Order: sequence, then structure tokens, then C-alpha cells
Amino acid sequence: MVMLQEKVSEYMEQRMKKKEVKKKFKKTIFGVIAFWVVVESMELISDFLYPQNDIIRNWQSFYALEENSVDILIVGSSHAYSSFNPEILGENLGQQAYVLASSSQNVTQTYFNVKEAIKYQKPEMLILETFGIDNNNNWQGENEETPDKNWKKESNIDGMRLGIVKLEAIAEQYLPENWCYALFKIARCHGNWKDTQLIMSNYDFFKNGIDQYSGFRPSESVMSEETMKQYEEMAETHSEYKICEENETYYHKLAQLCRENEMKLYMIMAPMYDGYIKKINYESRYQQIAALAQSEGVEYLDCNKLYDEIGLDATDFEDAFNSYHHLNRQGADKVTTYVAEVLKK
Amino acid sequence: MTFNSVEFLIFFPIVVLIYFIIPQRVKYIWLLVSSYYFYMSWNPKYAILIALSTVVTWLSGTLIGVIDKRYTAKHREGKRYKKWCVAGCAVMNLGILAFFKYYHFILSNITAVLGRVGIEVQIPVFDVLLPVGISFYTFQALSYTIDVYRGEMEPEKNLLKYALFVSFFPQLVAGPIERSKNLIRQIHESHYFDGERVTRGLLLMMWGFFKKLVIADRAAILVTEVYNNYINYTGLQIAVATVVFAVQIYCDFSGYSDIAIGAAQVMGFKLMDNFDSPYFARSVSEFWRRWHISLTTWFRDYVYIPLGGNRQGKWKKYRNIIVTFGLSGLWHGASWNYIVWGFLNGCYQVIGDLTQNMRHRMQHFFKIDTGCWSYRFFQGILTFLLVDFSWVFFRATSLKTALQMIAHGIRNFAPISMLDTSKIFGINTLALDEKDFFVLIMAVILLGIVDAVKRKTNIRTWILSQNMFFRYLLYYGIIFSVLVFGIYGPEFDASTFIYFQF
Repeated sequence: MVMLQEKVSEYMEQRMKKKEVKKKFKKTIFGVIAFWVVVESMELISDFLYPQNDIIRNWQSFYALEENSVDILIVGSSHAYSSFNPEILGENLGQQAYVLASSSQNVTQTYFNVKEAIKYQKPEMLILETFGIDNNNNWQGENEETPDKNWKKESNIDGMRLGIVKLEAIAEQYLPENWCYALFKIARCHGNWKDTQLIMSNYDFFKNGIDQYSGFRPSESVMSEETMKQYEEMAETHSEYKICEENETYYHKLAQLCRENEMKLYMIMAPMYDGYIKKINYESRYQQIAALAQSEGVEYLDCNKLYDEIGLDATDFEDAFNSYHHLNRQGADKVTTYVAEVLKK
Repeated sequence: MTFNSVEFLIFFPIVVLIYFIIPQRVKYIWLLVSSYYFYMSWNPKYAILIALSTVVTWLSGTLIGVIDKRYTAKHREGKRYKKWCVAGCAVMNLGILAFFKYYHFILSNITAVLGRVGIEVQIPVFDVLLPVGISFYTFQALSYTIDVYRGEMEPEKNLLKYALFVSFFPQLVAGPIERSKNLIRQIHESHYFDGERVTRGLLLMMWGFFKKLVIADRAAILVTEVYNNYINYTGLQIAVATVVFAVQIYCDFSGYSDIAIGAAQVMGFKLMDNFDSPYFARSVSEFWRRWHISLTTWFRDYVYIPLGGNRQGKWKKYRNIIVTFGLSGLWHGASWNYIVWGFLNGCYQVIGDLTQNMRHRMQHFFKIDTGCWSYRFFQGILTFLLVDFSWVFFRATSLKTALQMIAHGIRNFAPISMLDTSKIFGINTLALDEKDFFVLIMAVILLGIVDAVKRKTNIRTWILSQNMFFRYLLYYGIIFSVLVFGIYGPEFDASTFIYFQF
């Protein structure tokens, strides 16, 4: 009888323990879900308060693409997104192209963007627009070369999905004290709750969804006489071109990444307005980027040397002085057609 | 590393996680290491001072314990030795505090006085930086020695456990100033993970963050602008800014206390309450029973009562009040404006006591019902106005500025200067834009409701008794109000807590 009682109480104790473990397990799972809801909601709220959605839109459209549907991935700075029209590449080559570019994107950013992109797509070719291979050390805070450089760096990272690559990109590009700000965009944009117009425009964007967005963002203006004159009056500079160490390091890493993933790397310098080219020591820039390409055995096409072949004139550029001399839609179409021809060969 | 910094948001979960994983016997060592790391994040050199204060007070406590064992309680020599121990410990600790906090103040006043009588003195100037929280931990450590001396506390044998009592990170830099009787006992106890307790702690922390980031730092924008450029504002606008400052300092300091108490609660420690809806007080003395309770009770137990308290007649009681509040003012800052602020609060209480009979007679004569709501409301408003007036001296950068500001305010009162027809509500929102002003008002209304309800019921117990949907809605509500409406992020300098400077 005593034995039986002991056994019963032992059984009851074990059952209680099991129940306790179950309860704790349930609570842990619930805690994890609650935390996840906080993080996700934070992201959602930030999306509504985010000041400009171009980069986020670019990433969202990229993530929305059918897996392994992109054949040519174009990366780089604003010169990439304003110079290459994926539609024309598609028509001429019969391949789908996508432009994953952002303003002032340097090679470090490009490297992490490509690393993230190849998780979803297996492009055959990667076109690197080379304007970003410069001395712009969009790095860890001290060289304030452009007042909005942090914004440009952040806006690119903000669109990326949370994962190892994003964490790696943040760790590499930010000082440890800024990691949280880089990771949680709400810390940077929460002050926009007062801007109802912005919230409504973001709401419209999310309501309408992503529709056939290829990452191509052409300028619609045409260079005016006044702007041309400004270029003519611009002082000449003969200083040697400089590529910063970080950009060089990440260029080699990018080339390695392409080899590992059997992606053909192709480098193209999009055209800049020749009124500007004539005023700087462009030869130095060409030589250095060409040497970099050669060091990795990569083909390099400098469109600034091919004005006549492409058929470019002043009307192919946007109407802006000192704004990095972008092409306009007409110019972009000419350049893309030419590039498609070259790639065909 | 302030509570409202990214570093703390990383530091705290790591400390808590490891704290609950490691065995009980080493938990206090982990907390001690974490507390020193927390403190050294301001300046590693500060650790030397806190360690020195710890060792001195611990040794004096131990020595008092040894004397107690050797001599009987009535033995005169023993008493004398014990007094020497306490005095030595107090001189050493207060000496460090005086050097770091009051050196420049004393020096500049001596130089000014001597200069007036025509004596030019060259006194060496040291570039000393006030270590964060020195006033708090010095008082906490001193209370231990005094408690051991009084026989209210057994000397702590374990130096590391004692060091944790002095440096316990949640309350290290701005209180609550804990009593050894309360905290050392808890350091000896075992602490296990308790979901409900952790939730309560986190909830209090969230409310503290709300008060600090949504209310205090938003109010600070308005107050800083008006106080820094008071010459551009009218008397009414300065008065409004002072009312907003009353809100700012309350939310700043009680917000810190809430985070501190909540953080300690997460780890199983119960710290004393530091605020009890102080702006609902109906007299200045009641206000001081509800405001910064840990400091007020410290001064009561270790200054006011040893001075004789209220046991030695009316006038000595008044003297003790004035001395205690004057010292409290000096504790807050080495500047005459703090001393005047302290004296003013002491004077309010003395005047209140002196006029008590007269007020009673008037109430009787005019048949005033003192129990009705309107009378109590009037008392509350009057108390708030008196306290708020004293905040002018607290907030101004110097006594001279405070007096100039009051004079400027009286000369240029401009009673309609808070009206602005171009704004939505027709109110001049001063340095805040309309939307920020609106959020501030809404948040203050919420704060008022919470403080009023808190007096009748335990809000956290009530919240935890609600169903899950409501609870989580509330948690998320607080989290996202702080995240969206909080004043933080890279475009703002992380405003430190006001009481860190004391």
C-alpha cells in the first residue's frame, strides 16, 4: 500500500514537472513571438515614416522578383540607375536585367548588395558602373565629403532584409556606437510622425504595391544653354585621380565573389558630360580604373571614350551643373543600346 | 552609459540573461563586475573613487563591529572609539565629495570675499571633473557606517557584497539612495527568474522611458530655449516655461527612478520608492514627503533627527528644518541658486507652521469647509505654485540669473502673450511646434491620470490582471509611443538625466 502511494506521488510529481516544463516552453515561444511582433511592427511603422522610398522601393521590387529570373544585375551609384535601361537590354539581348543601384553607392556597399542579391538571384553577368570607384570614403563617419553621405549609406542598407549580410554590412560600415541606429531605421526617422504628407505618400506607395519596377530612374530634363555655359566657365583641375583603399579592397572582394558564383563581372563607366570631362584630369581616372579591371582580368568599357560611337551630345544629359553629370532618358537609351550591342558581340 | 542610450539597451539584457543563467553563489560577483563596468563607461578613473569610498566605509563598519565585540554597550571608551570611526569615515567621504563637488565653489567664494576687503589671493586651481553620481553613492555608503554605529545594522563581512551595495548599477548614479538594511539583505538572498516579477519590472522601465523620452526631453526643448534667452520672453511665458520645467524635472528624475527600480526588480531586487505623485501634495511639507523620498528620508534620519528634530521646541525645530533644507540645496549643486532653492523650501515649511493657527482661526471664522474638493484643489494649486516658484532658482544657471529673470518677468508680464491667433489652438507654443506641444499636453494628461490612479490602486497589478489581448495592446502602445514620439536618435544629443550632475 505504501509502495503504491509512493509510486502515485512520484508519478504525480513527474506529471507536475512535465507540466511546468511545458508551461515554460510555451511562455518562451510566446516571448519570442512577442519580440518578433515588436521588431516587425517597428519596421512597418518606420516604412510609413521613412523620408524617401526610392531605395526601399528598389529593394522591395528586387525581393518581389521571381527567384533566379534576373540574368544581368547592374550595380553602382546614381550613374548606374540613370544610365541603363533594363527594358532595352531585354529587347536587345533577350535577357532580364535589374538595376540595384543607389545614390553615391561605393564599392563596399555594392559588395554587400551583391552578396545579398545572389541569395535570391543567380545572374550570369554583373555590370559594375565604375563611377563609385573613387576616393569617396563613405565609411565610418569622419570624412564628411558629402553632407548627406550617412543618409545615402543608410538608405541603401535600410531596404535590405534583416539577415547575416545586413548585419555584416552594418558592422563593416558603421562605428559600433552607431550599429543600433543603422539597424533600426525607426531611430532615425521617427521624428517624421509630424509630416502627414509624407505618411500619406508612403501609404499610397504601399497600397499601390510594386509594379514592374526595374530600378531604372532616368532624369527627364535636358541640358540648357545656361548650364553648358557654366561648364565652359568652370575652372580646370589637373590633380591625379585617387581611389581609396577601402574601395579597392572591396573591388577585389567583389571580383572574388563573382568568380565564386560564376558570374561574369563587366565594368562600365557611364558617360559624363564632356564639358566636365575636358576640365578634369580624366586620363588619370581612366588609367587607374582600367588598371584595376586588368588586375582582376575584367573587361572595362569607358563610355567617355566612345562619345562618337554612341552618338552622344549635350542634349543627352540632364540639366544640372555639378550634380555628377548624369545622362537623361534619351542619353540612357543610347548608352544602353550601345552596351547591348557590345555585350552581344 | 545612460539609461536612454543604445549601450544600455545592449548592456542590460546581456547582464540579466547571464545573471539568471549563472549559479546563485556567483550572482553577486557578476552584478559587481557589471556595475563597475557600467560606472567605468563614463570614465574608468571614477572607479578609483567609488572603490576608495567602498573600502573606507566597509573598514569603518568592520572596525565598529570589532569595537562592539570588545567593549560593552555602556563602555565609554568603546563609544568614543566608535565615534572616531564614524567621524573619520565621514570626513574622508565628505572630503572627497567636497573636493570634487565644492572645491571651485568654496574657492571662488573665498576669493570674492577677500577681494571685497582688498586682499588679492592666488589659490591654486585644479581642473577637477565631477564624477557621476558621487553625491548618491557617498550618501549611500555613509548611511551604512552610521547604521552600523547605531547598531541598526550588522557589519557586512563580505567586502564584495558590500561593494555591490555601494555600486549596484541600477541606482548607482542617481538613486534611489538605498539603505544598507534594505539592500545588503537582498544581496544575500537568492534570486530566481520569475516571469511576473520580470514583467512588472519591464513595465515600470517602459513607463520610465516614456516619462523621460516623450515628456521630459520634449519639455526640455521649450524650457531650455526660454531659460537661455529669457530676455526675449514675457513674464507669463517665463512662468509657463517654469511650469513646464516642473513637469520636465519630475518626469526626468522619476523616469530615471522608475527605470532604476524596474531594472532592479527584473533581477529580483526591491528598491525603495522615490516619488509618490508629488504634485498632488497639498502642502510643501507633504510635497517633500513625496518628492525624492530616498534623499528626504536620508536627510531626515541622518541630519534632521540628530540635530534634534522637532523634540527641542519650536524655534530649534525651525532651525533644523532650515539647516536640513539648506544642506539639501547644497547637496544638489555647488552654487548659490541651489542653496537658495533649499532655503526657500525650508522657509515655506516654517512659514506654513507659523501661520497654521492663524489659518485655522480664519477657516473657523469664515466657516470654510476644508474637506471639500474645491478647498483641497486650492491647496494643491497653491502648493504647486510655491514649489514651482522655487524651481526658478533650481533651473537658472546662477542666483543672479534667477533674480534677473524674476525681475524681467515682473516688469514684462504681458498677460495675453500666451495667445497666438495664428496657431490652431490659439496658444503660443513657445519653442515647440504645435504638434510637439500637443503631444506634450496629451502625455502630461496621461501622466496626471496615472499618478492620480496610482494613489488608489497598484496599476501594474491591475494591468497584469487584465486579459492577454489588452495587456499586450498596452505594452505595444507604450513601446511604440516611446519609439515614435520619443526625443532620441542621431539627430538629437542623448540628453542625460538632470540628476546625473548631482
